[in-house]
Amino acid sequence: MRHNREPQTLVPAPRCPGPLSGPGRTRHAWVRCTVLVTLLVLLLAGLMAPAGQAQGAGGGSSEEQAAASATAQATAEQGSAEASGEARLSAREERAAAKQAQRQAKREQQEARRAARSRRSASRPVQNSSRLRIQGDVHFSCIAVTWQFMNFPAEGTNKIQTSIRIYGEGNGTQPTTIPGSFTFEGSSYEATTPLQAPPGEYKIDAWAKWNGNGLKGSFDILGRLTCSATPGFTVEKLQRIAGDSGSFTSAPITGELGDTVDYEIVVKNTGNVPLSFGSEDVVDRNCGTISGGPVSGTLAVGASATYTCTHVLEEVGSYPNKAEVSGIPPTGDGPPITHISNTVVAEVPLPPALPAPAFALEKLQQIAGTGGSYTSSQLSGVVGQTVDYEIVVENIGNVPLTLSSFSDPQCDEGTLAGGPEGGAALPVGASTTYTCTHVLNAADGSAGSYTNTVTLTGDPPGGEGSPVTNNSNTVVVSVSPSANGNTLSSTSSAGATGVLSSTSTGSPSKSGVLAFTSATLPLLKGPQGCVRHDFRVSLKAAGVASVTFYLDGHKLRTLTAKNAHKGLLTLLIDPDKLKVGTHKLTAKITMKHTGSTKAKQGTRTVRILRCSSAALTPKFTG
Amino acid sequence: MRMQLAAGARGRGALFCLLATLTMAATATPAHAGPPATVAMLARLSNLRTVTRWAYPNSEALVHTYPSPGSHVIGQLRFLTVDSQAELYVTLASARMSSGQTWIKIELPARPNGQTGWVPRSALESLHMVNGYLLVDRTTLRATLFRNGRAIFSAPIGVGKPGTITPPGSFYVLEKLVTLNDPAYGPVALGTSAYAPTLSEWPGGGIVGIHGTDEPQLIPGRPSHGCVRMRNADIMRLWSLISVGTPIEIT
Repeated sequence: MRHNREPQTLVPAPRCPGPLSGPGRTRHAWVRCTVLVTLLVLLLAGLMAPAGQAQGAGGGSSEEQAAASATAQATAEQGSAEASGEARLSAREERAAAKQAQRQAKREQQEARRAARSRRSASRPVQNSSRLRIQGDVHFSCIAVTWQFMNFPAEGTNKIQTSIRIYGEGNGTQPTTIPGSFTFEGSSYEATTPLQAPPGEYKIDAWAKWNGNGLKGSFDILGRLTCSATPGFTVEKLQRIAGDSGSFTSAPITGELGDTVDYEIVVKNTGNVPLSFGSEDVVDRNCGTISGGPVSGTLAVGASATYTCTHVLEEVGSYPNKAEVSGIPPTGDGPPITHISNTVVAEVPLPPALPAPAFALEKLQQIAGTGGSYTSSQLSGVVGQTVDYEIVVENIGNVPLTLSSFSDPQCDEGTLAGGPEGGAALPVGASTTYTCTHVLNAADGSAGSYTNTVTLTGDPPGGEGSPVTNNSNTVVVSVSPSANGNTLSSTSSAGATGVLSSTSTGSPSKSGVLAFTSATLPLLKGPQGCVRHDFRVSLKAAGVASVTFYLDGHKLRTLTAKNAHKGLLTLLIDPDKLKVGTHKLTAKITMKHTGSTKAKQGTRTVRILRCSSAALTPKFTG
Repeated sequence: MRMQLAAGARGRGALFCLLATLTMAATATPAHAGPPATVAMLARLSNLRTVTRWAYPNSEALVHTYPSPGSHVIGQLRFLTVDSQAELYVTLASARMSSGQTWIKIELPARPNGQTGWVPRSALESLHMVNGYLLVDRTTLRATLFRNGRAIFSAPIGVGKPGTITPPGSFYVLEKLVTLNDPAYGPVALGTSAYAPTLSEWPGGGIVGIHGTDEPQLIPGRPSHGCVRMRNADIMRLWSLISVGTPIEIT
């Protein structure tokens, strides 16, 4: 608290109050001595006029008159005593008393002249004719002395020397002097001198003086302190990228993936009793092994210690970090204290977007008409059966890929279908499926088995990396000779896959398959996730004569090639009456026939997931 | 794998470790037929910060401890959440085995928290991708949504009280709901893959949600049974910014 007073004639330094106590103050509350030093004074050094000169310029003041009056009074008293002869004192005693009165009068006169000189100097024009009212404020506590200086010249550099003298009351200890000096620019300044006085009773004397920048002055403050144990400490977290030449900082830093951040956790005892720190008293879950700290485990008053730890930057983004530290005061001096440090942040920006073309390639197979599902495992078939293949390509790089150079020696000619629509590039994260078939022939039967591997090339956009060519896994089919001229037909298969069947009898010839312009059934595309509103299922119309849709076995509608729109046969379905759960939507597809071949039929199935409304009362814990 | 470029040095190291572990695990697993399969290629699918891939299930396939049909079964894919919404699974890695089969490592939204397992690639639909994550900090009582490494949303939260804490760990957004009939949940809510550690008998199994509240004066604070509560304006904003499959990191 600052006491603002009107400028006084002053100069004797105000006395500080004694130890504070009473309602509203804690036992070890700091004793506070606030002093306003108001100096109507000041002065350019060159204007510090001698008393006689000032007196000549300013004329008599009330103080001077008072001093003269006091001197006159003392002289008069002396004369009166001598003249009356009635004094009861001896002549020697009278002389001593008279001399004392004269000395007192002289002192008062000197004081009055000094004050008058100061006032006159202040009132004289000082360069710009301004009057400076210097103010000082001092706060004493057992932990620190806080200085405040105000109304100093805003221009130039102000220099202040300070000294704090503290000594225990009644315990005979030697005074301790803490010198200090402050340099500042601007009219105001606040500074702190650490005190950290151990528990006890103290007298304290703080003075400050300044002489420069056109000013000269001082103040001297006395006070008392009653100090009890006041444990305290600060904790600061600092960081630096390992290997950097810069210093540790609490400011955000930027590193790269894989960089190591070195951390420092600096604790400083700011109380007035020593503190103990154990290894378990420092908690930093986002840091590695913590080491360091006070050598003996005890941090002396005013001392600092540093813990260290490291962390490797593993992810892109911000990595904030802070430490929690507990210090334990001596027994009886209070409970443990826990502080959380400032939070430091290490930023890891996204790495440069290096083009990284990559794709995954997987080949699956199934024997058409067996009702099985696609697999990469070995299958067994007989001559005349058809093997359906699915080749799943997934772009797992970071650039789109245009797929080319598809090579699969076991795909019968003309059966290859699928892939990105219109040969478009496969977006990052997307997948596409090729299909083809192979009819097991006599050569396969003679060999007993055959293997199959797909090779595919992904071409990134120009300048974004080199083409990537991958081989798929290898699938194996064991082939037995056909026992007779079997009839191949199919039933629908579960899952989002389909089978190709033939209505022809006997072993279909390779040429028969080739007769179709698009002999492979088109994939059926449906919605993923929940359906709550109208949704569409569609398939490519190329080569399709007709398609009949069934939902859970119930016929919905038949579309023919005439219903194709933009190359697709699409059915809009209202799921309103569907129960919540999974449903099977099947498309029975009849392919167009060409030449001498007969039409082929097959099925594709997708799963439909009917969800409840998303507007509901959740079953959360709340 | 080129994918790992984005994951950085540590990501590569982790993948190599995972590859070695999987190779040992897969070779140690008795195969039903043929020679034991080993991991021929491993790719990281998600870093759970800037790139996360997820998928709907394609079947109710069993979830294995290792990419091998002979390994232990720890769960089963399901199509619907307990709120009858579409279940989805965050994918962590893919492994191509020497047998040619590809397996995907997923996070399991099941009790106990933190389970991961492997399913055949064919058990999942195509992969979707998100580019952010939600950080739920129980110390600062704030939730922050990051996208491509940048914070785009932050708000104070209420978390579980002592005894019914909000569980720490890595989770994800399972469903986005519009809440009805109970103002305690606010106007909208997010279902997560996290389960409250102590409330297993709760209806629905004790799922941790992120939702609004009719007691905004308790935010920030620790008033809940495990859910993350937000002021209604904040949850509305978050709900509009976040998508299903987004990872949630609770610290």
